[in-house]
Amino acid sequence: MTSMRCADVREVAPDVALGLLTGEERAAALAHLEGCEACRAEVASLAGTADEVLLAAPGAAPPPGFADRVLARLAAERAGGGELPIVPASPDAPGHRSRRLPLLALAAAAVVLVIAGVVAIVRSGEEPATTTATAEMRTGRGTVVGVATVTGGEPATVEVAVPGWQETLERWDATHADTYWLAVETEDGTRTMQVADPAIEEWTMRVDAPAAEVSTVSVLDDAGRVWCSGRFAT
Amino acid sequence: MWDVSDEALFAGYASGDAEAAAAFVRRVERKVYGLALAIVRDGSDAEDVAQEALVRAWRFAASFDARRGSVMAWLLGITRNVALDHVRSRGRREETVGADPVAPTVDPLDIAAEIDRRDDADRVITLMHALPAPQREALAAVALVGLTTREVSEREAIPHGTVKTRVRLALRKLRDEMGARVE
Repeated sequence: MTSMRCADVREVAPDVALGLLTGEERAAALAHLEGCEACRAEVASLAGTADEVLLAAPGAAPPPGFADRVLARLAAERAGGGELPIVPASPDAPGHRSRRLPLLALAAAAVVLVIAGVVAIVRSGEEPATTTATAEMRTGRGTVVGVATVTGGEPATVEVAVPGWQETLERWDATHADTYWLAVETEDGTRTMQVADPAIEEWTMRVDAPAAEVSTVSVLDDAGRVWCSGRFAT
Repeated sequence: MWDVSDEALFAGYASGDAEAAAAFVRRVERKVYGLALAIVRDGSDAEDVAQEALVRAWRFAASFDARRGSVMAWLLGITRNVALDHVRSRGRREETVGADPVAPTVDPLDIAAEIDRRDDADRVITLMHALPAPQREALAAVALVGLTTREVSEREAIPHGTVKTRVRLALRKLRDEMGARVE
């Protein structure tokens, strides 16, 4: 992935704020923002302005009975409501716009990485060059929502399974990001990202690093929110 | 009830207070439905989007943070994203202007003209007026109608780079005028 410098990110900051970037360009911008507080502040400021612009939208009278239908739906929701299986790490929530890059969310991502629990690490005696480690995928609230494994020598293969992901997206993602990402970090701080197909609940990616050096894996949306994350023992 | 702030009414809406919920929905419905309609361009679809946005706002009420902006801006942000999802899920909208009696008669790119007719002009609208027309129209098309810069470029026969530049300039200028809310 092509890396971006501050000047590059400042140039496209309005595009990020308006949700106009896609694909590799968006991934590169998000990767930069994760490590650059000044650029994050710039984007957050512009995203706030983009929110305000929506206030200028022209109003229009909805069809008769609209409010009653909404209230009826709310009543049905309240009657059938239950615990949601996954919550994003961010205290700022899925209700916020996907294009926003919440500073709190990015800060929360760091917290997630710290608190993510390790289940087990098993080194195979039969194949010394092969490492297998398993980590729980946890949300920002510490709920275990899936499991990640890293296997192989070099390159390593990381597999992530989050059962219930489909339902989670449906129920939680008010902003419904365009793209979700798997982000794998190694001990030297290198991050590799790959699009996580939202239509499935298990993903596999290869990482050009020894399996033993893979430290964390996260599922992110295109706003940089960490949905769940796991840390491997090293 | 009507002299209560949006935020206070929303708190009641979130907590399930029937009277507050009804008042909140009636207060915001024109804005929510209007934005949905501007993006999906079909009265029936706009109702679905507006309903969904309000239900999601209730569901995620705990995530609203008044320090980040008004409840209306937050709600419209949800509405815009639900509307864009709707448009993307069925492919880019068909041109239905005129085919639906509820659809707006203005071209989406002329939404800046619609702003002229609003009587509840607030600071945002005033500031948008202060932008050069090409910038205002480009920003409105992207932010309020949900078009991509490429779509604006094709519709208006303007180079894509020019559209991107206009949108960027417009948003930066607005931000600077509003006073950046750096968190």
